[in-house]
Amino acid sequence: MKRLCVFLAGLVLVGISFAQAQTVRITGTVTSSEDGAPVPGVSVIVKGTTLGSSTDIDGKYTLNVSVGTETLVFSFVGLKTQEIAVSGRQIIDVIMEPDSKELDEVVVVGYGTRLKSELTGSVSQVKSEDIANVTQPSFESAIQGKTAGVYVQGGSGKLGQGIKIRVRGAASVSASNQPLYIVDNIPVNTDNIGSSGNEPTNPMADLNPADIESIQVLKDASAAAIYGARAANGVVLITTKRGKEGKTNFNFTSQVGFSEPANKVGFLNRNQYLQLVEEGFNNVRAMYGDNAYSWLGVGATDSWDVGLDNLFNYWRDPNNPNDLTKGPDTNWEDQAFRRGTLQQYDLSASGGNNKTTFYASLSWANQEGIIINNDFDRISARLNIDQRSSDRVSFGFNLNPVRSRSFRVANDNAFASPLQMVALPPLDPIYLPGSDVLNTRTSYENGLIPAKYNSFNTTTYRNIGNVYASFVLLEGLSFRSEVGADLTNQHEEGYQGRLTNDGGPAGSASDRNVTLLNYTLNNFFSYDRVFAERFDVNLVGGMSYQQSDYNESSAYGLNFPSDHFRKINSAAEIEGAYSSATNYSFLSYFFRSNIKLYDKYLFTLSARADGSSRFGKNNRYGFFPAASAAWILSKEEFLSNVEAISFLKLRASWGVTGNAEIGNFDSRGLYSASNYAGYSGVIPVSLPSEDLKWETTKQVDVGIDFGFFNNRITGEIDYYVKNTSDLLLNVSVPGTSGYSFITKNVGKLSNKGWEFVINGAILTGRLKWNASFNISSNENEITDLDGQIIRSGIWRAMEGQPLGVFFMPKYAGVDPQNGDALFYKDESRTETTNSLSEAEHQVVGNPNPKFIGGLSNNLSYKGFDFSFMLQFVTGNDIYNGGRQWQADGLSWLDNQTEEYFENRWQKPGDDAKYPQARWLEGNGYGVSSMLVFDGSYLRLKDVTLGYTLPKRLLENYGIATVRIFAKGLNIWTLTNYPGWDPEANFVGAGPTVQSQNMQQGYDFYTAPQPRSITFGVQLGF
Amino acid sequence: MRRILFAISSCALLLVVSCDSYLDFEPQQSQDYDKIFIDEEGVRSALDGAYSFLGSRDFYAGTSIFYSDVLGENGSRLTWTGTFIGYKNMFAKTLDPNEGTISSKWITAYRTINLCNNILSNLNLVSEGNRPNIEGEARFLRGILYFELVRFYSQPYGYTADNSHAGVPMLSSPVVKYEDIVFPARESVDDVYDQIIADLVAAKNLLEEGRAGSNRGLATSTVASAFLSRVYLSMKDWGQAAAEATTVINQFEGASALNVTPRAAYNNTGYTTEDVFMVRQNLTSHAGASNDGVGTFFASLPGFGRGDVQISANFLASFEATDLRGVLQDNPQAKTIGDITAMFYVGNGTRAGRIRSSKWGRFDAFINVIRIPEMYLSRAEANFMNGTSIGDEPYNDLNVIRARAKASLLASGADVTLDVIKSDRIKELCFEGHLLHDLKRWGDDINASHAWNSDALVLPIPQRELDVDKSGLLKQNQGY
Repeated sequence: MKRLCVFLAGLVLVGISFAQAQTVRITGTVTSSEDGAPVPGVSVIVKGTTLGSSTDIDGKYTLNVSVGTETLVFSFVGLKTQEIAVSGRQIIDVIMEPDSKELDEVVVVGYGTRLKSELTGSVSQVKSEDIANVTQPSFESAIQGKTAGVYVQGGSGKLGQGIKIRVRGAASVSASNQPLYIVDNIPVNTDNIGSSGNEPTNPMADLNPADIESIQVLKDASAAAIYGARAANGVVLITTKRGKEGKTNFNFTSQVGFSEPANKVGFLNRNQYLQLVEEGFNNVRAMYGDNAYSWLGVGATDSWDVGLDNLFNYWRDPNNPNDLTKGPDTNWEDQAFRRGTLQQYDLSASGGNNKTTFYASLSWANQEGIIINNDFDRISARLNIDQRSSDRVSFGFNLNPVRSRSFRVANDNAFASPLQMVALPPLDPIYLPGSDVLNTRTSYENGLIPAKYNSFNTTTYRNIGNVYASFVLLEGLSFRSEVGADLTNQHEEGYQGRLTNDGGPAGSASDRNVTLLNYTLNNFFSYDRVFAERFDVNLVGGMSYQQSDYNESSAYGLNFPSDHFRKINSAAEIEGAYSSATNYSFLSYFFRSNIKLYDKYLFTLSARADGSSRFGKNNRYGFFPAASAAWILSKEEFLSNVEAISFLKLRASWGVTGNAEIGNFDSRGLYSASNYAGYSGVIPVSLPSEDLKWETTKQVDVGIDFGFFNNRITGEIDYYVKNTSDLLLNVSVPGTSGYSFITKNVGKLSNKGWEFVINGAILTGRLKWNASFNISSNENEITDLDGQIIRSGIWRAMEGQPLGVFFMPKYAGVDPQNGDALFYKDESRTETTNSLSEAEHQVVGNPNPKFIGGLSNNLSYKGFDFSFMLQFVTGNDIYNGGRQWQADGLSWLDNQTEEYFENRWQKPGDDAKYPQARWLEGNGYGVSSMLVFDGSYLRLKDVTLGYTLPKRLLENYGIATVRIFAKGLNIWTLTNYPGWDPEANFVGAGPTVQSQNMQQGYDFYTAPQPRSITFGVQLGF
Repeated sequence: MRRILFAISSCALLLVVSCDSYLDFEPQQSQDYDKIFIDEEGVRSALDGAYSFLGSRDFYAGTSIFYSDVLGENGSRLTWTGTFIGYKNMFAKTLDPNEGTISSKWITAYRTINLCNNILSNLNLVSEGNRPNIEGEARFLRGILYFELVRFYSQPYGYTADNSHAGVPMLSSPVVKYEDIVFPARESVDDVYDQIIADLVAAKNLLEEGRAGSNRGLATSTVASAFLSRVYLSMKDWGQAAAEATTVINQFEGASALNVTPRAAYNNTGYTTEDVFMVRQNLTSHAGASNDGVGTFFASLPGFGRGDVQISANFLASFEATDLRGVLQDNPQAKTIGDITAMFYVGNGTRAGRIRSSKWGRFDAFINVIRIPEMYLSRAEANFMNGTSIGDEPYNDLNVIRARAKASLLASGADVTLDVIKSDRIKELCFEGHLLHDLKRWGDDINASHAWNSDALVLPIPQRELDVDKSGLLKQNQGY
């Protein structure tokens, strides 16, 4: 390692001695091949550098380049990128041709860019058009279904909740499976820093989607290995918009809309509920005799409603106490939801001259969610400036101050969570009879009370910014240095009112502050040179240092004079006050070479050495190499005559990436402080694991990129095998040791799958129709855990199975004779039993999808544009934990779903889905595969209809473009899942990394995604 | 130009020169093992850490109490009406080896035992003067935790004539690193009891006498005697049980230690005069305020309690009218447990309108583990069974408790029967974690389908332990 340091230092010094060269000015005009009109905004770049300019409104550009500059690259979205040899010319005019499938886009890769046609690795990308006008708080949902191999799953319909992203499957059991996010070359924090009393939030909701120019997902090892020890889960590169030389363009977009839950489950009304009580009561008496309810004070001759009298308050109508059809009839599900609203305003300006370019934006988004008391609000500003101070030196900076506010509700597994109101029987009135006072004597907590008196507000101030300077040291060799910081300050204030279960009797408040500074320094050289016109070399090498400093403080107070006072200052008692801090760092060296021979043979070699403070002291540094090659067959002579084939490339890659997303001090044997009510002691928390190192993923990828019929049909096919070894595993140890696990490098798992993408320009005339379809499969298998089983509730990691299988008794249906629930006794699934405790636990479901994908369509005719996007997930199972109470045959008081009601066993001979109802008694209703359902769905995720006003109407008003549009989100879903929404993933309050990996496909009173309709206007000046 | 480049290069150079120091961070909320056990202060803080586990939901502030009272219940005193499946199963006597609190209790117990073993192996760091105290307290903690484990995870003492039936694993040496981990088998109940008695007797001899309340709530010789009395009672070693109880009662100066009313012992933020041992709880350190902790499950007050434990009216009816321990109070205006002066109240929080016990009405109050009345009742039972009168006659001992409760007094020794002793014990100690163990000692069946020695009344060995076990020596209890 020392040697590397010296080598790099040497390189820096060598760089200093070159610093003189002559410049020459190149000018020209760029026109369109379609109509000969000038094309403004075309990017003109000296190949292999960031040096460049762009065309002005008249399609003209000027560029000062050093003598000997060989190639200029002209690119523009929707047009074919061209590389033009300078050959000593000073005027270079270029005619740009439309590119029906833009095969030659510039793709951002780590520490540089490549042309898409020259990629040797596997990279998915989504461009700004696909992200524009996103109305969800964060951009991830906009890439859902659009990127093959990338599984995006919203956690719930609550606003700003954590989102699960898996690039080519989950590669770890105990370390994080979320990809690394890089915004403009700077790794940013994507870990939840919210309170452990609630579900994780998504820090990426702080980034305004309208500012994003492109998103690249580096999927295979060749593309990702440049990020070394943190690349095994893939890397998401986000590039924000920058200005282009030319006149200043102003854009203003305004959107307003409303939303409602994508689905409601439907629970019993009063009469159905009463019917079920009576039925269940009679069933139990038939089994156990007339005294079956004596424990409830129901005599042998009493009727069933006496039992209800002993359980419920106010369930009879005081005026008609004997008419059971007259009491309260509350639809509690409706009480949890509301019609949400959303509004979003984006204003941006971009432009510049040949020295300075800028992009500036201001945005305000405000949403009232579909769940009562759940709102989100974000104000974001951005200023990206690039300055070319000379031909050799350019610098710039990004500033992105944001304030986002999230008004949250309790976690799904809390009575105070609005959706848990569905547990309340319809017999419970909302208000105390004859008053407007909320009923405090409901069967479970009346969720409207916490909704009225509780608040949980998160305010985040964040700035993801960087400063860079770039120097051309000599022809083809440049040096870039950048410092970036992701600075977050998050303030959470919670208050629980005096009438609520959690806040009584006199209110409780929390106040929590987190400051997270995550800063990065990148220094790297790039070298770009073409030798003898057939040997292109592109080299990148440098170092990176990242440090993260986390500070947290919090205080909790009790006992307030009234619910008006919500600050800790007004608390009579301090329940607790805490502060804590932690840090980690990465010091890395990286190198990559791209070689192109004869324009058709491509080779990439890359390597990264990563040192991390997290690794054990015996294993500080890891080394991550990758190699790949591609062959552009379509440039071979034997294919040049085949008209139909416009592009054909074979590629193959191999590489090693790592995962270091573990706790900052997991390698240490530590004792923490423990408070024994006034006395402070220390307790052991972890065993030392001094050899702890990164997890290693070796990935092989083979792929084909193709374009047929002048690239009207393009696509990619990939097959990959990802083998992870030395898993960073929480290895279970016997509890008798005083510990329950130790983090060690043990075990292996694999992911393999196919990805298939096809794009077509179906119609190209006046009516244009572009479509893109992708489907991908992933097969996850844990191959070695050293014989152990890792459990997290009902989820397991076990050898020979995919991660997070459901492990519980297998439900065998209903005994048609007596309505008993039946379960298989063992895994052979031959004999059944009616006793849940006699049924062997076994694998009954897999939360990982078999196939994911989507179909996007864009149509345009004259000024009209129409697009729709279908997204699907198949083959995954969902464990609906809430149905232990929502569909349990009235084992207790909870209201039941209509779907249960309609499918229950009632009389001998019934071939029913669910067992006989037995009031306040069990009948196999517990954790079993009765709660496991197929979670496949097909969803019409996005529909947009727009109309762009003809330019001639606008000429006199100084307006360049006007587009009005209407947009629908989650309009329609096809699924057999009986819960609210198959796109659900409850991970619990304050989950661990491992529990988030394992607890997949978990629905626990989890809110559905919103279905929204938005209307918008886009203005350009 | 050159200058800029030079500056940049120097910066880059600076950074790479001292590579490794950039990767060194120390944890700020924790410390390496080898920096803890370096001096007496470190050992003492580890001992305080061990005590902190006692106040968790896994022991006296949680499952020590309601495992016993819920598993041993047949519905005649209380009904579990909560939604937590684990406790619901406990009430139904259908325990699941995968249940979280069952494995959590096991793991926390051994975690504490291992910490005690670490302390005991580092006594050389402690000054001679303080060594007896630290050793005594560590052995006390280890002893009571083995007692807790063997009572819940094994059939009771006396289940087999020679007590050769399976107890729990025991560990004699500390685990410091991965290589220290062993996969122990379960020792016989006889051997586990030997260890418990050895530890508690050692604690009794090493520690000074005194009320724990005056000694910031830690173990004393007196507390060790009180636990020994419990241990001997469960072994039906009546003589020793009565003797140890007498030691405690004498050190508490007899009946004068009793609070004026039964209700006064509960929901306090410190010891009362009759408390022999309590676990500390306060606002910042407690077993749970909304999803865990004994108060959470018993209480139904505005803003506190899930109201999961409902008391039956029949149980109240079993008290004499004058008995302060059987009074029911209906105060819909009550805000906190402080507004309830009776032993029972009509809940006005979650699932309002049902009868609740006022023993556990706060999450931040100390939890009673051993009170002087238990010593009287245990002594009465031991003497009665043994036909002795160590300390005092059984009917006098029972009357001490009856008198305080304003229940009718027994006229003479002739009124004392085992049934009276059982009934007095339940009335005084109900919902304090005694029921299951008492029934097993008495050989009383819980209901028609669950005899005192039913497999269903023994907690299963946690499934995770069997899964982890590489030796195959760890055996599950019968019936699972």
